[in-house]
Amino acid sequence: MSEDGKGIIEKLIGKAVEFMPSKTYNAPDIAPVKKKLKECRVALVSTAGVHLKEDEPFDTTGSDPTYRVVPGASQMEDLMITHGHYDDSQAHLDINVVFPIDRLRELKDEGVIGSIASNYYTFRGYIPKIRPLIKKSAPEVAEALVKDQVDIAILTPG
Amino acid sequence: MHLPKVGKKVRPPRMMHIRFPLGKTFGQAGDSETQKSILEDLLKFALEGEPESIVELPYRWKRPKN
Repeated sequence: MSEDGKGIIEKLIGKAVEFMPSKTYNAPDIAPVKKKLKECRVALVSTAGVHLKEDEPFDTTGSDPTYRVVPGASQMEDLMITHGHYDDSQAHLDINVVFPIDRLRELKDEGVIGSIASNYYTFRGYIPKIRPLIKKSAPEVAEALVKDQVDIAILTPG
Repeated sequence: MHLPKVGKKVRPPRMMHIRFPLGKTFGQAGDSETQKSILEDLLKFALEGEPESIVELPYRWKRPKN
Protein backbone atom coordinates (compact mmCIF):
# COMPACT_ATOMS: atom_id res chain seq x y z
CA MET A 1 0.00 0.00 0.00
CA SER A 2 1.20 3.53 -0.74
CA GLU A 3 2.32 5.89 2.03
CA ASP A 4 -0.73 8.07 1.28
CA GLY A 5 -3.04 5.06 1.64
CA LYS A 6 -1.48 4.12 4.96
CA GLY A 7 -1.85 7.73 6.14
CA ILE A 8 -5.57 7.81 5.37
CA ILE A 9 -6.14 4.50 7.19
CA GLU A 10 -4.22 5.77 10.22
CA LYS A 11 -6.34 8.93 10.32
CA LEU A 12 -9.51 6.83 10.22
CA ILE A 13 -8.23 4.54 12.97
CA GLY A 14 -7.24 7.57 15.04
CA LYS A 15 -10.71 9.09 14.67
CA ALA A 16 -12.47 5.83 15.52
CA VAL A 17 -10.46 5.13 18.68
CA GLU A 18 -11.15 8.62 20.06
CA PHE A 19 -14.54 7.26 21.06
CA MET A 20 -13.31 3.95 22.47
CA PRO A 21 -11.70 4.55 25.87
CA SER A 22 -13.96 5.58 28.70
CA LYS A 23 -13.08 8.88 30.31
CA THR A 24 -11.11 8.43 33.52
CA TYR A 25 -12.32 10.55 36.44
CA ASN A 26 -9.88 9.29 39.04
CA ALA A 27 -6.36 9.67 37.76
CA PRO A 28 -3.70 7.34 39.14
CA ASP A 29 -1.45 8.60 41.91
CA ILE A 30 1.71 10.25 40.69
CA ALA A 31 4.74 8.43 42.06
CA PRO A 32 7.42 10.89 43.17
CA VAL A 33 10.96 10.08 42.04
CA LYS A 34 13.74 11.50 44.16
CA LYS A 35 16.65 9.92 42.30
CA LYS A 36 18.74 11.32 39.49
CA LEU A 37 18.28 9.74 36.06
CA LYS A 38 21.72 8.14 36.23
CA GLU A 39 20.57 6.27 39.36
CA CYS A 40 17.22 5.10 37.98
CA ARG A 41 16.20 1.58 37.04
CA VAL A 42 14.18 1.66 33.83
CA ALA A 43 11.61 -0.68 32.27
CA LEU A 44 9.73 -0.62 29.01
CA VAL A 45 6.03 -1.46 28.96
CA SER A 46 4.81 -1.71 25.41
CA THR A 47 1.48 -2.12 23.67
CA ALA A 48 3.16 -2.79 20.32
CA GLY A 49 2.48 -6.54 20.42
CA VAL A 50 6.13 -7.49 20.94
CA HIS A 51 6.89 -10.90 22.47
CA LEU A 52 9.53 -13.62 22.56
CA LYS A 53 9.42 -15.84 19.49
CA GLU A 54 8.91 -18.89 21.69
CA ASP A 55 5.95 -17.34 23.56
CA GLU A 56 2.31 -17.75 22.64
CA PRO A 57 1.36 -14.98 20.18
CA PHE A 58 -1.31 -12.47 21.15
CA ASP A 59 -4.85 -13.19 20.00
CA THR A 60 -5.49 -10.90 17.04
CA THR A 61 -9.12 -11.97 16.63
CA GLY A 62 -10.55 -10.10 19.62
CA SER A 63 -9.75 -8.29 22.86
CA ASP A 64 -6.62 -9.87 24.34
CA PRO A 65 -5.89 -8.45 27.83
CA THR A 66 -2.93 -10.75 28.49
CA TYR A 67 0.67 -9.66 28.67
CA ARG A 68 4.02 -11.24 27.92
CA VAL A 69 7.25 -11.03 29.90
CA VAL A 70 10.29 -10.04 27.86
CA PRO A 71 13.60 -10.39 29.74
CA GLY A 72 15.58 -7.14 29.88
CA ALA A 73 18.56 -8.94 28.32
CA SER A 74 16.56 -9.93 25.21
CA GLN A 75 18.05 -9.24 21.80
CA MET A 76 16.19 -8.09 18.69
CA GLU A 77 16.49 -11.53 17.11
CA ASP A 78 14.70 -13.10 20.12
CA LEU A 79 11.56 -11.04 19.48
CA MET A 80 8.60 -10.86 17.12
CA ILE A 81 5.41 -8.81 16.81
CA THR A 82 1.79 -9.97 16.80
CA HIS A 83 -0.54 -7.00 16.54
CA GLY A 84 -2.25 -6.36 13.20
CA HIS A 85 -3.60 -2.86 13.91
CA TYR A 86 -0.61 -0.82 12.77
CA ASP A 87 1.94 -0.92 9.97
CA ASP A 88 4.75 -2.96 11.54
CA SER A 89 6.98 -3.10 8.43
CA GLN A 90 9.61 -0.78 9.94
CA ALA A 91 9.46 -2.59 13.28
CA HIS A 92 10.22 -5.89 11.55
CA LEU A 93 13.38 -4.31 10.16
CA ASP A 94 14.32 -2.68 13.47
CA ILE A 95 12.25 -3.36 16.57
CA ASN A 96 13.70 -0.23 18.19
CA VAL A 97 11.17 1.88 16.26
CA VAL A 98 8.48 0.69 18.70
CA PHE A 99 10.46 -1.05 21.45
CA PRO A 100 13.85 0.66 21.88
CA ILE A 101 15.77 -2.07 23.73
CA ASP A 102 19.10 -1.39 22.03
CA ARG A 103 18.88 2.35 22.63
CA LEU A 104 18.06 1.77 26.32
CA ARG A 105 21.06 -0.55 26.58
CA GLU A 106 23.27 2.14 25.07
CA LEU A 107 21.99 4.70 27.58
CA LYS A 108 22.80 2.27 30.38
CA ASP A 109 26.31 1.66 28.99
CA GLU A 110 26.85 5.43 28.72
CA GLY A 111 25.77 5.93 32.34
CA VAL A 112 22.71 8.03 31.42
CA ILE A 113 20.48 5.61 33.35
CA GLY A 114 21.42 3.39 36.28
CA SER A 115 20.16 -0.02 35.24
CA ILE A 116 17.68 -1.90 33.09
CA ALA A 117 14.78 -3.81 34.64
CA SER A 118 14.94 -7.59 34.89
CA ASN A 119 11.90 -7.78 32.63
CA TYR A 120 9.86 -5.71 30.24
CA TYR A 121 6.10 -6.22 29.90
CA THR A 122 4.24 -6.21 26.63
CA PHE A 123 0.62 -6.07 25.47
CA ARG A 124 -1.24 -5.97 22.19
CA GLY A 125 -2.71 -2.50 22.28
CA TYR A 126 -6.18 -3.23 21.05
CA ILE A 127 -8.15 -4.20 24.15
CA PRO A 128 -11.76 -2.95 23.86
CA LYS A 129 -12.86 -5.06 26.86
CA ILE A 130 -10.82 -3.27 29.50
CA ARG A 131 -12.14 -4.86 32.71
CA PRO A 132 -9.69 -7.83 32.78
CA LEU A 133 -6.91 -5.39 31.95
CA ILE A 134 -7.79 -3.10 34.85
CA LYS A 135 -8.60 -5.86 37.32
CA LYS A 136 -5.82 -8.36 36.56
CA SER A 137 -3.14 -7.66 33.96
CA ALA A 138 -2.26 -4.06 34.78
CA PRO A 139 -2.05 -4.59 38.58
CA GLU A 140 0.10 -7.70 38.05
CA VAL A 141 2.50 -5.78 35.84
CA ALA A 142 2.58 -2.82 38.25
CA GLU A 143 3.32 -5.16 41.16
CA ALA A 144 6.13 -6.88 39.21
CA LEU A 145 7.68 -3.51 38.37
CA VAL A 146 7.58 -2.43 42.03
CA LYS A 147 9.05 -5.77 43.12
CA ASP A 148 11.90 -5.28 40.63
CA GLN A 149 12.49 -1.80 42.15
CA VAL A 150 11.87 -0.05 38.84
CA ASP A 151 11.93 3.75 39.09
CA ILE A 152 10.75 4.66 35.59
CA ALA A 153 8.43 2.71 33.29
CA ILE A 154 8.32 4.04 29.74
CA LEU A 155 5.06 3.06 28.03
CA THR A 156 5.53 2.73 24.29
CA PRO A 157 2.68 2.29 21.78
CA GLY A 158 2.78 0.56 18.42
CA MET B 1 1.59 8.58 22.18
CA HIS B 2 0.34 9.18 18.64
CA LEU B 3 -3.25 10.02 19.57
CA PRO B 4 -3.28 12.72 22.28
CA LYS B 5 -7.08 13.04 22.32
CA VAL B 6 -7.29 9.36 23.27
CA GLY B 7 -4.48 9.67 25.81
CA LYS B 8 -6.07 12.67 27.54
CA LYS B 9 -9.21 10.65 28.30
CA VAL B 10 -7.33 8.18 30.47
CA ARG B 11 -5.22 10.78 32.28
CA PRO B 12 -1.77 9.15 32.24
CA PRO B 13 0.76 10.37 34.84
CA ARG B 14 2.81 12.07 32.10
CA MET B 15 2.46 11.84 28.36
CA MET B 16 4.51 12.93 25.39
CA HIS B 17 2.87 13.28 21.99
CA ILE B 18 4.89 12.54 18.86
CA ARG B 19 3.75 13.44 15.34
CA PHE B 20 5.13 10.26 13.81
CA PRO B 21 2.99 7.57 12.14
CA LEU B 22 1.75 4.54 14.05
CA GLY B 23 4.39 1.81 14.06
CA LYS B 24 7.21 4.36 13.89
CA THR B 25 7.04 5.84 17.38
CA PHE B 26 10.81 6.27 17.67
CA GLY B 27 11.47 7.05 14.00
CA GLN B 28 12.76 5.10 11.05
CA ALA B 29 14.38 1.68 11.13
CA GLY B 30 18.11 2.17 11.48
CA ASP B 31 17.89 5.81 12.64
CA SER B 32 19.42 5.09 16.02
CA GLU B 33 20.23 8.76 16.63
CA THR B 34 16.57 9.84 16.52
CA GLN B 35 15.46 6.74 18.42
CA LYS B 36 17.86 7.48 21.26
CA SER B 37 17.09 11.18 21.32
CA ILE B 38 13.35 10.49 21.73
CA LEU B 39 14.01 7.90 24.43
CA GLU B 40 16.18 10.37 26.34
CA ASP B 41 13.42 12.99 26.08
CA LEU B 42 10.95 10.51 27.56
CA LEU B 43 13.27 9.57 30.42
CA LYS B 44 13.94 13.19 31.37
CA PHE B 45 10.24 14.01 31.14
CA ALA B 46 9.43 11.08 33.44
CA LEU B 47 11.44 12.84 36.16
CA GLU B 48 10.78 16.49 35.36
CA GLY B 49 7.27 16.54 33.89
CA GLU B 50 4.41 17.89 35.95
CA PRO B 51 1.66 15.43 37.00
CA GLU B 52 -0.71 14.68 34.11
CA SER B 53 1.19 17.02 31.83
CA ILE B 54 1.07 16.42 28.08
CA VAL B 55 3.93 17.74 25.99
CA GLU B 56 4.38 17.57 22.24
CA LEU B 57 7.81 16.46 21.09
CA PRO B 58 9.40 18.74 18.46
CA TYR B 59 10.24 16.00 15.93
CA ARG B 60 8.57 16.07 12.52
CA TRP B 61 8.15 13.10 10.24
CA LYS B 62 10.04 13.03 6.97
CA ARG B 63 9.16 10.46 4.38
CA PRO B 64 12.02 8.08 3.75
CA LYS B 65 13.84 8.59 0.45
CA ASN B 66 13.27 5.69 -1.94
